[in-house]
Amino acid sequence: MKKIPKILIFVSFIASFATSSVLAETATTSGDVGEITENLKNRLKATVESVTETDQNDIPKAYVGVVKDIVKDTIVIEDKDGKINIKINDDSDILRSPGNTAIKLESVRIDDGIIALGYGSREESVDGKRIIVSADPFTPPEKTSAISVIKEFAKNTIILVDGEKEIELATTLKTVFKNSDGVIDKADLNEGDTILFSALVDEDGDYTATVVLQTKKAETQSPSPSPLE
Amino acid sequence: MKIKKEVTVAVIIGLLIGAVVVGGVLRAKSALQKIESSLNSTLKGESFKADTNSDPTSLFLTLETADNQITASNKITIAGRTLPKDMVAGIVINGENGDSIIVPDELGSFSQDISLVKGANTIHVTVYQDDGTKVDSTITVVYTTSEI
Repeated sequence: MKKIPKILIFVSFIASFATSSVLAETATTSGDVGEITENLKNRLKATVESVTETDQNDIPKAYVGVVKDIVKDTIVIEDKDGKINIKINDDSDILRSPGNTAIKLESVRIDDGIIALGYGSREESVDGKRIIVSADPFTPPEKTSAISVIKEFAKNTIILVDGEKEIELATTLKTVFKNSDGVIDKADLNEGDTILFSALVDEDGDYTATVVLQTKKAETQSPSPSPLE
Repeated sequence: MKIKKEVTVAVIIGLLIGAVVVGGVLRAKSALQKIESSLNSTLKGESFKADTNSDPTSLFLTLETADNQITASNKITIAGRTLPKDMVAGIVINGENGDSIIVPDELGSFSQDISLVKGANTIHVTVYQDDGTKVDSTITVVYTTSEI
């Protein structure tokens, strides 16, 4: 019976020592809170990325470009952002435009224009589902846009000043004229106005305006009195 | 006497226990303070870096419309963000089936529906400032009713 208090004291001592050690250890461990937070962030990021990647891989993507190489069952294409490997398998439909006739991989030629629809990522490879090739590249019509000052008006043409050079901007009945409030008439434009335009560029390099936005009105000069008055 | 001796030993042991517990708590507290100060300095460093790297007046363009997408609709909404409208002259959106020139709102957000042609559509977006400074981005969209 006499030993019981001693044992209790001994146990209490050990327990207290252990508690303090744990407290100290916790503090030391939490000394790496930054590291832990960083690890947690990285894990979360990796999880989100893997989920996002999985989701992204479930969404079909379209790549438009030119055939650069054909290696076994892979068409290497180049689009606006670089090269992509399009894997062809038994489920892939390859069509030649115009006419959309079904063709085999062997009939795809280097420098063909190509629209590749499939699943996968640019970084790895795309599992091609529907491939459309054409002898002519799928290039958009050439367009341009610029911000310039109106120098003068000619018949169906606005002469613009862009630095030291002049631009002849043809207008048609389809050309849309507007300002920040909405649609305006061509007659609302004046010499000295600043405009932002979008135009089609033809084979000769001539511009035909599709949309013209009046961004700034010409600074109105105060009328000076006539010497005759 | 024997009892007194045991009581004395118990008191001494109790004091020792107390000292050990207090020591542990103090050690934990000082360690936490060190961590807090190191975290604070790290955070301050990060915000400083962010401030030096971002120029609120430099022209930018962020398109929210996904690139390389396939749609079964003949229209698509081109949306994005740039500088607020008082810092931008206009945004030119060149599509295959027509062009648009719009201005962003007070917060720099913009959105415009454009029509698509069947097949490949290259959509070019350019933001202009009054002095001719511009920034652009291009996305590709394929309009098809075929199942993929």
